[in-house]
Amino acid sequence: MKSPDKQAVITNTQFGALVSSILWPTIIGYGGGIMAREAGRDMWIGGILGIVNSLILAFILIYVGGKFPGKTIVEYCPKLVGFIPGKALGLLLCLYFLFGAYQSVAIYVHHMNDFLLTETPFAVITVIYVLVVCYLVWHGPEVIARLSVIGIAAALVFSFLVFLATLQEINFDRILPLLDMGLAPIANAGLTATSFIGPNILVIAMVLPLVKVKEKAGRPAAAGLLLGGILFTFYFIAELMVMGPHVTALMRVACMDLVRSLQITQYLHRFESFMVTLWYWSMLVQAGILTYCAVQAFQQIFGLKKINIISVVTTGILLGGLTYVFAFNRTLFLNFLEGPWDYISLPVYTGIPVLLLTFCLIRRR
Amino acid sequence: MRIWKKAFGWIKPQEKLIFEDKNTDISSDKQPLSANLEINLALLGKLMGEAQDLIIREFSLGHDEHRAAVVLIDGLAEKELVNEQILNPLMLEIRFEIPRGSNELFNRIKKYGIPNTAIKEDYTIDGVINDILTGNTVLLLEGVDRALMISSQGWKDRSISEPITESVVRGPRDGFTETLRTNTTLIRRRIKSPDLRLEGIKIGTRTQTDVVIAYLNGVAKKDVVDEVRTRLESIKIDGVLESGYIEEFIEDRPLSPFPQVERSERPDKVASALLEGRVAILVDTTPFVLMVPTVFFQFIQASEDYYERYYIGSMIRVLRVLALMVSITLPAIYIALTSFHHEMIPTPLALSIASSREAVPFPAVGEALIMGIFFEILREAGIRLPRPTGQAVSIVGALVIGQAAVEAGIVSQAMVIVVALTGISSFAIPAYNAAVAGILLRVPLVILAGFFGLFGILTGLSLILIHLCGLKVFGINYLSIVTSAGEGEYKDFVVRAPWWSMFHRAGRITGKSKKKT
Repeated sequence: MKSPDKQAVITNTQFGALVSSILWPTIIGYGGGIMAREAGRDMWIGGILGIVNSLILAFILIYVGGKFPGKTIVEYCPKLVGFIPGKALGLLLCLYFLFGAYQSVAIYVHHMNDFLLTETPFAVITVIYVLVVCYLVWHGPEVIARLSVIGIAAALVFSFLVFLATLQEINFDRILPLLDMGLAPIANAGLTATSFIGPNILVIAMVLPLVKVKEKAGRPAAAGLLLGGILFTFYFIAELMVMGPHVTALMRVACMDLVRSLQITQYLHRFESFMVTLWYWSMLVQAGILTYCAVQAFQQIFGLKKINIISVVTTGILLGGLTYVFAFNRTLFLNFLEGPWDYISLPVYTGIPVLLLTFCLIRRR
Repeated sequence: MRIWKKAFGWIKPQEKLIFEDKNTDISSDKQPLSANLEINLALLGKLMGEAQDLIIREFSLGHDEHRAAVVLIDGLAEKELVNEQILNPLMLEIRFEIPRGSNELFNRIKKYGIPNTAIKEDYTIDGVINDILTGNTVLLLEGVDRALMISSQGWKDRSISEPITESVVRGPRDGFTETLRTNTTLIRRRIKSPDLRLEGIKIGTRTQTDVVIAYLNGVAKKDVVDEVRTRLESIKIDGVLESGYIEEFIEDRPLSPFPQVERSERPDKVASALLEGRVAILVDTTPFVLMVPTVFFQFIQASEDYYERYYIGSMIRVLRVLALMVSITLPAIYIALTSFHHEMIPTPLALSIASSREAVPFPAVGEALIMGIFFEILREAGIRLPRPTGQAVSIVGALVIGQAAVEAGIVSQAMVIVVALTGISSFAIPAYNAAVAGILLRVPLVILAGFFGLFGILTGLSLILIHLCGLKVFGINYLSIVTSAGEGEYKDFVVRAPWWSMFHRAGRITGKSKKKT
């Protein structure tokens, strides 16, 4: 006998945990190397810029979302900007979330296939992981939010272990002098950081209607963004202090190379598998919530309410297909993230919130 | 017409026995009692299938003026009590004037004749039979279409003893028995509050098993109590022989490997659950009491945790959490490390493991499965065999077979250690059903680790955690303490706070009365 179904509700603490646990895992995966190439030893300042950007955008989304209680960004877009442009924006958001989920899946699969299971076919890992993500999405946002609490706990242990392991290796000289390459590269790195976390900021606008005390959603969102930001900025600093900007810049997946170069006493001299285990939960939450948002956005464009199994399966096939086709070639994937992705992502994560705020103010909602 | 009735009304037509009438369905025994004693007795005998243990004692009151009979089941009713409280006062020491009218006599017997605390009337054969079958004695009188049920239950039952499955170093030694009334008494003795509610319900069309819903009014959530009642009332089954039957009916997710209803033989544990605002379900003929709603971490808590000082209790709980993790994941982690991620093992240990596995023909996953299955067989054999033999089989099996298997090169020494540690860890979990759930999860994890190493373990653990995060028991999330601890819940989680600082009950479970004081 089953308990009666109720409307999904996310507590404010879970909301904060969700925001922070989805913020850090992909950016430390590929972001570290890219940002080191852009800003050198000042890449961590780029990370802070990314957090500041994210905070501003998150508050815009919470402000606008507060004007439409119980509605997601995809639902209130047509009411603010008109029916057809609103639906078009909804479709754009759907694709953006799907792309964010694809990035997350691809980065995880790369970690597994390139470092831990080198002989297992790429497709096998992709299919199994996408199945797990779809299973999570099928359980809905409440379950994803609960899992995020475990994810953030694991993230804190992860950071603590990195701190312990890097203590012997750190050298402050490696991040000095500050502003070594000037301000423009830092701004560029900040743009990269925000591009990585852009889809995750827009998640706020999709899950806001589920938050228990919506009036107080700003505080957990800010706390979550700050905690997530601190986690990846700390990791950037650790990378710089241990490997230095030049070595970091040579890396494709700098975070993995960092943990491979560390040890905790002679008994734990290679503990990257353990670190992957801690990092994984945030990754799963991120892939799950982004896929959920893509599915939900797609359904809401067509006015469908409840999560549909066909939508989940279709999105799963798309995710797996995108990962296999576009992420199998690591160079292509990296070049895309390093180049065009900034310019694709920027108009969406900045443009849409600013556009909606403008319409909101013009229409005096 | 009236005059005719007055004149000849005493001449009653011969009543036909119900079962002699082919049109009467005696299986539907919602028949009213007859005023004719002979018919009632014959009908009872027929409906009971002339049962060998059915006692019908006919007698007369006051110089053969009134015929009467008592009906009872030998063994269920206490014969001494029947003699002392029913037959003796009515046959030898009658203390009231016997009236002429049968109905008047019946009322006087009810009022003055039976020195028993619990008597009641019934008008149907169905009611009479139900009472006889629960151990009560029925008194029937000639000329009265009513029956007097007199409480006389007195079967042989097990005395209160320490529960074998939940022994403690410190704590009360009494345990529930198979008798419902004894069990409710054990709870009443601990909670002397008028708010303790014991609602009765019968389940099982044939067994008519007595089930009691126990809760503390105001402390338990009304929604949960209503939901428990609804679920119990909707059970359609012919017999309930153990609380396990009911457990399966009221579970939210019957396909889940995780136990969703906590059970205990300990009255102190059930009383504690009631004080937390949970609902207990007591079933007659079993000492196992069910408790709902249940969250995952209750399965690693034992009543002793609350009797020992808080830091000792907390330390034991931490050990149990560790034991739970070891019992589920250790073989899988061993396989992943030895088959895929050798770099994680310190070099001397890796060499030692490699040398011990040199002669073993099976892959690590095969070794783990073989050893795991044999360990569980040994454990099951140890439980089923008589206790002295069981212990001998377990020890001989574990030592001799383990040693022989290593020497024959079938399994490695490291694997024997891993399997033994896993098995011992599963014994550290207080709830047997949770420990068995661990075995169900261990096997798929071992297989996944054998194919995909760490990735396989992560995949398996993800599926388990997603399932757990989505699992709700009576509307309460199974992992609620981990994912969204409410008021008062943090203080009684893995680490238990001292009693003097635990002011609140678990907010999610409790009804209106949140404070413990």
